[in-house]
Amino acid sequence: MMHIARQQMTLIMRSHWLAGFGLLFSSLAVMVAFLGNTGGTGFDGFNRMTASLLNVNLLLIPLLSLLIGSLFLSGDKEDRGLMLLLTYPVSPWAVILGKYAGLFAAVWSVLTFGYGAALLVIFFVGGSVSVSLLLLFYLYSVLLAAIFLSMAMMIGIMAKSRFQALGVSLIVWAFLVLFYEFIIMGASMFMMKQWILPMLTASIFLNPVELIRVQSILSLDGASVFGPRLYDLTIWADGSAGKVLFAVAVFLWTVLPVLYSVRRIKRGAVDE
Amino acid sequence: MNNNEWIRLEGLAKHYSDEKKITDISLTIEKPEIFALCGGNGAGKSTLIKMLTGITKPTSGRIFLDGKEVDPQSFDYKKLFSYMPDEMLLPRQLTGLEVLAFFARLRGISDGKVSEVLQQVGLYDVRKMPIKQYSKGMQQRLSLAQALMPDVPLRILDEPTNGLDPFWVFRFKEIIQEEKRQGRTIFFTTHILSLVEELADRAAFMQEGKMHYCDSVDTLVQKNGVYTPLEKVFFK
Repeated sequence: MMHIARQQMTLIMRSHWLAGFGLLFSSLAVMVAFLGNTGGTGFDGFNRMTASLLNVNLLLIPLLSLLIGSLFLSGDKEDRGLMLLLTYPVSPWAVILGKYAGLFAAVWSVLTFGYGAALLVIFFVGGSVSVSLLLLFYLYSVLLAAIFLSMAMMIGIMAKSRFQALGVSLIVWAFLVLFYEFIIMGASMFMMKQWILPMLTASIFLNPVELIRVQSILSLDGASVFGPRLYDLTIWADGSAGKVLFAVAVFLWTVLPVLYSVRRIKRGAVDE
Repeated sequence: MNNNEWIRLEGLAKHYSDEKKITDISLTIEKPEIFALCGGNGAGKSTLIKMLTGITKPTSGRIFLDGKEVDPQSFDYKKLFSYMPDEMLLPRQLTGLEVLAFFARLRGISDGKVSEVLQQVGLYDVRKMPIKQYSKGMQQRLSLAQALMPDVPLRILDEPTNGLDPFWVFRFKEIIQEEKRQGRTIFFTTHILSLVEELADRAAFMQEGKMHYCDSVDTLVQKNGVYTPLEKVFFK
């Protein structure tokens, strides 16, 4: 598995994709850090800078992870490298987990570089920064990447070509990041009042972007942004039951797509 | 089961769609021998190889090894063969040496063997060159080198001479004959029938997903007591 992970990481590191995304993510993180620290607001919980950084994370990390993961895997399939690997005395688990580990390490390095650059900017512009909050934010970014890379593996294994993988990845990203909240808002308009809160609660767990968004805001003591009507939800989500369910949901979102990818290989359906 | 039988495919079938399917393929592979699977484009040769190598699961049919049914995805079965895919596109950003070293590490093959195989396929001097600078023939030779590295009794080669120049087709024939002398079985697909006549001990011909002939090349070309080229045997 380690050989496959190392090979995958070498391949990504030498491609222009990662460098491009790395540059884009770092520039945006640095810009957010710089602009967020001007005007004397400083870093103190859920403020202008963290809100902006959260939006950058929730937009870019799913896109970066989905595109890199699905295009690399579907490309490997299209170029027959994956087929060749599957004829080696290596288990499908080692192939999928090795590729996942390599992709994850590459995306993780981009996130670390971006956060590091942002931290340097905050330091040089003299902004005050809570290291523990920034680390928490960084952790959520890494979790988001872990979840979307897992989904990307599944898309890459299922897609017949790079082109199809690109299309499916963009549709999944647009649905989860751009349209999901509008669909939920629209659905709530046609729902009986007593069902709205359970529906909103369920909707958070059914979309990893919302899951990370809500947990990030709660961790930064920014529950007030949800308003008084969702007070019960924020109290529950910030409590131990909410935290356990959050951990379970992140685990399932990360593990299930990988499990499905392995199952597909074992079924010999990777070539269909 | 005949005395020389090593691997037996029994009633293998794969149904992708009504237009794309292969049906009821049965053949035996002996040890050692050079077995050629012939047929035109879309005849089902690559699909059969994918079932033989465990990449694709057959819709029906079984594979036997020494008379016992095997799971083509099992570790023990995969340790028996190496495989060269048809028209594989190798990672352009890596060097030839890096690609071979990766595959060697997966099987625990030494660096010395990697160098030896690179010399065998004439790529030792360009081993540190990125693959994007390799010609199609060089990439094909690198793919062949990958399949020649492990010490396994069976080599499965899908269209191995595609893109090779005449010199390297000649060298390929020498390499394959040497492999057989070392006791290995070479199972390869091709649509070049002159190569089959020259190289193979036995051959099978597939068309539209079905097996039409499977016999020794000598028997096939001497069907009526006089020499008949394989193309006449298969197409008339």
